[in-house]
Amino acid sequence: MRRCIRFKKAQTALVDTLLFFIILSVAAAALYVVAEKYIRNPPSTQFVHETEYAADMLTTTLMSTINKTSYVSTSGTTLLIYDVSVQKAIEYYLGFYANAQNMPGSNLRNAIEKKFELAKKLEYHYAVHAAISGTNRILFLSDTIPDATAADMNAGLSKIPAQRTTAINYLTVPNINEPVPITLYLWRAT
Amino acid sequence: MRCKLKRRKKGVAGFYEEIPALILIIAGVTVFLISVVHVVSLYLSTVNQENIQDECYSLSRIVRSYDKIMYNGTYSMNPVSGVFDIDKIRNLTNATVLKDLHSTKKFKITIEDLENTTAKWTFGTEIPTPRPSVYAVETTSIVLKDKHDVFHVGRLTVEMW
Repeated sequence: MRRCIRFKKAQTALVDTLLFFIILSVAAAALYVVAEKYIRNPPSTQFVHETEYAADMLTTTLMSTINKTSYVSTSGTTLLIYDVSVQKAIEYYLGFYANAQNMPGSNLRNAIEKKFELAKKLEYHYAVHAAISGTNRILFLSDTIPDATAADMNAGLSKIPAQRTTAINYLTVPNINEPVPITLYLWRAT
Repeated sequence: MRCKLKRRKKGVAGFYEEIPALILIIAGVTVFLISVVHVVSLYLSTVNQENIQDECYSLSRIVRSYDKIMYNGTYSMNPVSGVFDIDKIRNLTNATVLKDLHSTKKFKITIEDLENTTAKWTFGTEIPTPRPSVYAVETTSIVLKDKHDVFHVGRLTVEMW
């Protein structure tokens, strides 16, 4: 009888320590996981730097110049342009959008697209959107949709991930009185 | 006699029963302490990394507005940071950069013309090999004035250790 009681006591001690060991192990694992998740990559700094990078990328790309390209004027003639800034090229693109030749696949659009491709960092995807409100004039460029069709352009914004960084600038489009916003979206390539 | 023998056995049995429990306690406490040490060291290294990353970022912003290479300098009516003049970069010496850009840490600045792959300029100190454990890099988009009214897309990279 006495032996039996002692045996039970010993077992209780072992169970208690086993429980203690399990609790400590779980606490250690939880601490490790939480530290790895929240301490290693603080999200706030990354966000500030990405926002700044997006603003820099948009400003500098709009300032850079396209060596030689062409667009189709309202009269239907193809005009060659030299050393035109990307900003001016986009303004031409939206200003003479009614011409089918200036649609996706045109020299002008390809030249603009190349500049954004060059400026972006490898670890990012990008999209550029500019639209004149009340019209069908839209510029939508994205490396995830290389040859965007008119339908892609309309649906373009919905294809951009919600976790993204944006930068906005304004264009002066011929024959449009209001400044036209141009937005750059950047998101990390997974 | 019988009674004494019983007691001894109990004593031995009791002592050896405690050993597995003690091992478990030591193992549990050790695992937990290792985890705490890991978290503390991770926190300290993250703080160090964040500090150097912030300093690197600040230096990259300073370089973007560095008067000696800006197309329109800070004395201009319309200074635009991140717009550099290639001729000014060509004339810039490493000694001038090290004198003008003060930093408590060592740094390397690389300016690349992405439209002309041969045009690449580096200033500062060379990164030692193997690369230091506490190291930060900041990349930003710039534009380089090549000829009159010709602006190329460029990239500014600042590395710090």
